Amino acid sequence: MSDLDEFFAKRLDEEASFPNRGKNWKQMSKRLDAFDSGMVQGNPSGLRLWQAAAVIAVATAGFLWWKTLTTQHYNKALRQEVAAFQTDRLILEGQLAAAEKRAAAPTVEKGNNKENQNTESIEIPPSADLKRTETASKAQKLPSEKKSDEPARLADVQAENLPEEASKNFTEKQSSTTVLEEKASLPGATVLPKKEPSSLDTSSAKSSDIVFTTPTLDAVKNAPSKTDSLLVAEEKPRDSIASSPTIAQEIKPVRSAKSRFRIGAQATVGFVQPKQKGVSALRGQGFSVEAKVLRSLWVTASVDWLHHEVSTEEFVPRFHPHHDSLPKPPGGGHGGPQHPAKLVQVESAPREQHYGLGLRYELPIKFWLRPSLRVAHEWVRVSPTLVTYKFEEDNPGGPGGPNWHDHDPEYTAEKFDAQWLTNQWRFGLGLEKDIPNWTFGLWADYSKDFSSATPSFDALYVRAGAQYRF
Amino acid sequence: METNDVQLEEILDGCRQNKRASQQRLYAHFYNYAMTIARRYMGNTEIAEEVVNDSFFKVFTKIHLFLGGQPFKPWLRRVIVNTAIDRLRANMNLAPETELQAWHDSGSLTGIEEELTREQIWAMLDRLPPAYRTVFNLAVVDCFSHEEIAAALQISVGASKSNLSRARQHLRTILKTEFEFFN
Repeated sequence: MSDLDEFFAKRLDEEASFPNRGKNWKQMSKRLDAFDSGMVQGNPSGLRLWQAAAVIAVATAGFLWWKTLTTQHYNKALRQEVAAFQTDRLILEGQLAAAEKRAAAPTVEKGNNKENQNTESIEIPPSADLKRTETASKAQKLPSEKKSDEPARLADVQAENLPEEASKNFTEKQSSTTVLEEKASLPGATVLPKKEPSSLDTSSAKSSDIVFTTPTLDAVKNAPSKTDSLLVAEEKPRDSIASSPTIAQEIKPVRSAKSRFRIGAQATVGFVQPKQKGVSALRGQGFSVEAKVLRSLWVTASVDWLHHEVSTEEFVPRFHPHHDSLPKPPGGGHGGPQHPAKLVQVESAPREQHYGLGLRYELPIKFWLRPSLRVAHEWVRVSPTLVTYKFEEDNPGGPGGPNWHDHDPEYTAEKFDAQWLTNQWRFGLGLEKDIPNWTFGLWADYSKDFSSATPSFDALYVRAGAQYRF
Repeated sequence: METNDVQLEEILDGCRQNKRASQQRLYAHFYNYAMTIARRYMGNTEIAEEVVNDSFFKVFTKIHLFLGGQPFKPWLRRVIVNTAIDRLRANMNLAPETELQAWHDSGSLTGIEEELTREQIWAMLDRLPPAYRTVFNLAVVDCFSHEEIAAALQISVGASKSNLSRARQHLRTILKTEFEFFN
């Protein structure tokens, strides 16, 4: 710091004595009186509002946390169920393979003699047969608890996975050797063993070489049989777990991008339109809930808590929807009829709650950000508000003028009850980005007041927020 | 009026309870202090009075934000400075100066402390453009950093430095041409 700086810092910081302390205190006292007259009742409601907002925020966060946990548990249970189904299927297929081998010998000749010319033969290579045997042996390596309840589970699986008739038939056929007999009795169906199995033990199935001949598709269709459903079940791809009707119903994609509901929070900044000197930006935050009703159409509901400050040099009705008439200065002004008091400043700090209900349409545009359009109707509740008015003597001569009197400004305050504003519409455009479970977005809304009874102001809002999908 | 720390705490407690008598005592005690600060920012006693009243209004209505056990005077000073900045920002252009001129601290002041009255010093300061005067006050008297000034006035740090440099140049020119204080 140079000596010039030191000099000015020292001299300018010396406390001087100023006149008009008493006069200025009187002004201050009046201003405080006006403030107190309204704010004594005004503060608690504002406090309650924010307490309620905090409680809602905590409750929402708790709900989302709980929902995430339950979803994780649900997914885990589904995975375990799928694993159990896979295991059961392997066991079932192993049992079927063994039963077929056991039943093959006494039915060969009988089936071979019938309608041999009307068949299509499918030869199962030894390697495929080996595969079946391996899966059967895999099933035998399951944990002990799986083995212990294997019969019960098998029955369950049969009952669930197969049509009732087929399940019944399958159970009956397990105790006899008639399965392939019936197969062979179908029009055009034969089962041809190339070689006699040396044993019924599945471990020896590797060496067996069986040729299955199945009927033509038309022939099967035209021949109703109790074993139809069983045959169909046998022909299903072995890795197509979801093709089982029961499994297909239970295994659903969870938390996919096609979620139907969203809940989220957003921060909002708004600017009154047209711009008005002395009116601050609207700031606040809120929550939103959305539900998909059509492919790209969502119903949206939102609540926002916004606040702003108004300090204008004149009374602007659109910022004070509570009333449309100017208050009278206290005492009618200093100067009496000749020098009426003039309103020079209007101050208030309104708080508003915006409740919106509308529709959002996702534009079918392929882009890493997803654009959408939104239109919503809003009900706006303006909280109880204190409006402070400052009056000064209206003397055209001004200080030093012919009629100048050095009077203090007058303050008065009015407190207005809460009021509802309707017919407020928001038209918006947004960009959204999805990540697993969450959607982040930036929206621009133009709020238009169509109300004629309680005119309010238009505003341009910018919202940024995150939504949880479920 | 002499007010020690204990008395000041009692007054502040009364202000927290919205007692008018306590508010009046606080106002009376710090009125000159507040006016001194507001006067050098506003360059006008009448406007400075408005700034002081606005500042005290903020103090009385937001006294709950002032935590006990801390020195009150710096908090009050900050409120006054902020109120003055708000008023200046609303009423005049504090647009940044693009050209940065370096301050060359040539020469030294000799014996001017005794010769200049407070009114003369205020008059010199009042002759500065508002943007220069504001930055000079913030930087030199209230010891704000350029980053703090830039944030408060919503200008760039470079503009703050430039304005301070120009303020010093103006003051040196006035001192040299009108008082011939530089050797």
